Amino acid sequence: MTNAIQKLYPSTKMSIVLAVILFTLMMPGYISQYSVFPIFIIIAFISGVGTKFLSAFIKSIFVLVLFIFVFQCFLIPSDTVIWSKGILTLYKEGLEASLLMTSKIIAISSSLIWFFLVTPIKDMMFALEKAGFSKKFTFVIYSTIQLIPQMKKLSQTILEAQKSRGIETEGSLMIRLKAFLPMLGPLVLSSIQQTEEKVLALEARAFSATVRKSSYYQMSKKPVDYLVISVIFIGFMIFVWWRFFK
Amino acid sequence: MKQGIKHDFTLLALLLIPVGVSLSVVGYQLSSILKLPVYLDLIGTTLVAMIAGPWIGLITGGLGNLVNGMLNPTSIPFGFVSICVGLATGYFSKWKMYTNVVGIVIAGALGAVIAAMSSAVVVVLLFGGVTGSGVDLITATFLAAGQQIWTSVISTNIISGTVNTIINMAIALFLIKRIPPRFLVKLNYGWNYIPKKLREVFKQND
Repeated sequence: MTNAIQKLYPSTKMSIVLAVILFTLMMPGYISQYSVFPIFIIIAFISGVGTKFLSAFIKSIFVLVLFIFVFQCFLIPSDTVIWSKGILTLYKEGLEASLLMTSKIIAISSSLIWFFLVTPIKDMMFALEKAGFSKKFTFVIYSTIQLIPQMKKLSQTILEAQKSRGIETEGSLMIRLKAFLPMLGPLVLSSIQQTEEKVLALEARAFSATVRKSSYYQMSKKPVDYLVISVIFIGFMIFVWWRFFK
Repeated sequence: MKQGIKHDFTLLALLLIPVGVSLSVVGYQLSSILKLPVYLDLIGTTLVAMIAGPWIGLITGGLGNLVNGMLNPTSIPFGFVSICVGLATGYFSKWKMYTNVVGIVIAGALGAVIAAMSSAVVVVLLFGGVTGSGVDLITATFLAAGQQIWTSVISTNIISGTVNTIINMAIALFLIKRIPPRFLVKLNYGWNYIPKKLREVFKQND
């Protein structure tokens, strides 16, 4: 949390994402949408998450975009043929459709990847609570994010334990499928037992009490947040005016 | 017990949501460790929807995809599929379909169709027929054979997804059988999964 961009209030960052999504959907063509991506690479490097951003992008979006091009360009027949060789035929309509589609996917997902990389979950939950969402709502999200790595670790332990008891995890499909239940069974039972205990622990700390709760963790909007939000808002209004009324 | 959107969000049911989401994640991970041909990434959603009802199931499904979406945003739109499956499974459970063999078969078939349709909506409208995984080859074959994009994607989903959905439901049911009745009795939709003999004991004590 040393970086100025990372220090922005979560809703400020969210408004950037929203502006990008609306811009992407309202703008015709695909060139401006594609230009969102390099801008976000730069923003990501300034925010100090550049490499993470690129690796997340390549892992999740790149293959998908590639597949869309192959599908739309070569497999869905339409009228205008641009290029043809052997069984491969490149269609103009398909190329246009895939450009439109992928530009939107790339723009929206790059803004979302950036958002989740620069916003710690803790900040997000605090901002949601402050925005009026119920404590139960934020608690469920927060504990989900915490529980997933714990359960992954627990499942590894169970896997090792069951292997040492002689459950086979390799071999024919039937053998591997049979191994599935002894893995998940203990996991479900132990997590359900924990759930009961957690209910008691939470109620002992007045979780369901309908009073206003205070928080150790504090964040507030700074002047720079108001500045960023107003710049985005004015910029977006100008864009809407230019797009629809000019 | 009273059921419905106003009564379903008990603290116990809310705490099952994280368990359901992580179960789905672990299920996916385990099925790739064991090199199974099906992806059991709906186990948590179906299990929680069965014992805690449609609304908790809906949230479990949606939240699972949202959390995955933090690393891979393309999984967020597929939350629609999980939401539909969670909601449907919850209602099947409410209608006591999982208590008899005929009901289970119908629920499996309906669930598979719902999953195939909802995922086709996302895949065709947002991603032009592509999921970015191996099943795209089947869709490509259909397209190359001259089928329309909608029929290709739906057929692919039904071929690849039916077994998947049914196995997810079956494993969830097996797991529920192992959950102690004293826990099930606290949940709004758990009553039907308690063995008959115990139900009478519970009733007498009430």
